[in-house]
Amino acid sequence: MLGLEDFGVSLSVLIDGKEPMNMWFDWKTSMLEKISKVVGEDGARDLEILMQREAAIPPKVAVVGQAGVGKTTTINNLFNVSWKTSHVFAGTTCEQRENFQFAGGGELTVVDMPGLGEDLRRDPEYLKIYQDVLPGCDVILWIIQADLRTLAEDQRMWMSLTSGRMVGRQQRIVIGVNQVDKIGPGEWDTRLNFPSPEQENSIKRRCKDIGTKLSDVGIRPKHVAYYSAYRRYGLYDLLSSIVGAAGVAGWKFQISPADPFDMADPDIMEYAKSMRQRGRKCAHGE
Amino acid sequence: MKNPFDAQEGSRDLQEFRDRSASEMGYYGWTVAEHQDVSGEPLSKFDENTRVVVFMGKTGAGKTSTINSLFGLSWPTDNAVACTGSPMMAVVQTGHRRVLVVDMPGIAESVDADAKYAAYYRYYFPRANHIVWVLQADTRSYAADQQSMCSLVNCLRENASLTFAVNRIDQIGAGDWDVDTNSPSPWQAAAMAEKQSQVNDLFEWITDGKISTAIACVSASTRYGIEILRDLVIAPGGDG
Repeated sequence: MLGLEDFGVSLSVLIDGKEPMNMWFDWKTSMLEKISKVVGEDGARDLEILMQREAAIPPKVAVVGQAGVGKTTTINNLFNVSWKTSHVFAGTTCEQRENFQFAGGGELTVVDMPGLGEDLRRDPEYLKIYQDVLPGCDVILWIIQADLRTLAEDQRMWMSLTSGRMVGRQQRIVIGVNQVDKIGPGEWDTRLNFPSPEQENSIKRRCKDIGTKLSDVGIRPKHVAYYSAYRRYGLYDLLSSIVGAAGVAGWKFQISPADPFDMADPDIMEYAKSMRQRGRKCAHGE
Repeated sequence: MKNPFDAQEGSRDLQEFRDRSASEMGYYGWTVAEHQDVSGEPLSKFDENTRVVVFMGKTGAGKTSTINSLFGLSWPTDNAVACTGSPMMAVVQTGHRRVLVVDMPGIAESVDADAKYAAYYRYYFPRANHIVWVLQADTRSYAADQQSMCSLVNCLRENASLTFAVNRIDQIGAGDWDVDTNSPSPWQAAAMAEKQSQVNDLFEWITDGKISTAIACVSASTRYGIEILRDLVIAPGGDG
């Protein structure tokens, strides 16, 4: 089946009104005009139906990673749902999926996977779920824990999953480094909901280390998004990475994951709100 | 009137200060007799009766921090990138007890690192009297420890013993550790019991019948449980 990327489509998406948006139907109209000159009106109409069918299938995002990194918590806070999580004891044990609508249009299917590396005896069963589900997904959101130093298990997970089937999927991988609020030394700034300078340093070094070790197993992600699902920090960056990786045309939506300032001091929230209102007024030329 | 320039008085004061702070710190009497890095076959330098204690576990679990807390050392640690790249050793002693402490580089750092460090594990494990396997409390990911344990449990010497040190116990759950009394919150106390049974369930099928094990919940940073761990590390009632 033809994919839209075969037509060299790359559209940027609207993110909270900040970026210019390429209109799906303007493009479609002009493209179809050109194509009908080559294959005739019937051919162009068939193509249009094909494209509509393709665009109607929401892109699928598989959320993968070791046990306890925060896959389910990330989904809960990105999309404002309440799937069951557990910090210390057993979490997601089977794949669970859900469709999420964005206000303003667009849809996303998210597949939450069980965590690997929990128990040697259960890993083969979970790995099979990964092998079955992953090839059918458009984007892989690979979550890694910031405040741990390990990466061998993630490397091994990738090595046992690739074996030919995932070749060519590189551009669809989003690396999300979660729990940056827990990385040491230093304490998270709870007033501003921001990392301390010492934490920033650790985060940078951890992300760089992750990048190096992933490239050792052949993965070169364009962007490593670091965030904290629990603190609602960096969620915009993460979501825009996911959307960018999906690369599906026809999207026009406004992203509104849980507001990071909701977790900050009430005075700061008021200040941020007034700044945003002022910003909007300026944008409208008032 | 104390004379600050009197050498004898000065050294007496200094010793008093050391004794006081050492007893407050909890490692009174331990002195570091020697500290050397691995080179060639150093184990043959130590006599048969030296108790060898090997610290093992995932990178970042807190092996080096735990050793620093137990024996008052200051070996380097790092939050973001793996630190101990080759085994570090020290002989610590109190009175007639002498222990050779071996700090291993951590497992699961990367596929390359695991391959590189495997030789170290295979060299030290057969010679260890006691293994302290440091696990991180605030994680659910123990398969790498299980894997490593499976491959090493058979090369242990007879009568070797093992202690699981479940470190960072103060961080479990919401991390609402009572800092003033250095003790767990009610939820954390219940979770600690659950954690011990979880660890038992995860490793018993590997260690059963091969090595006697104990589980201790500790926090290297707050020093919770460090005394108890030290008692487990030294041979109970023995000469060490």
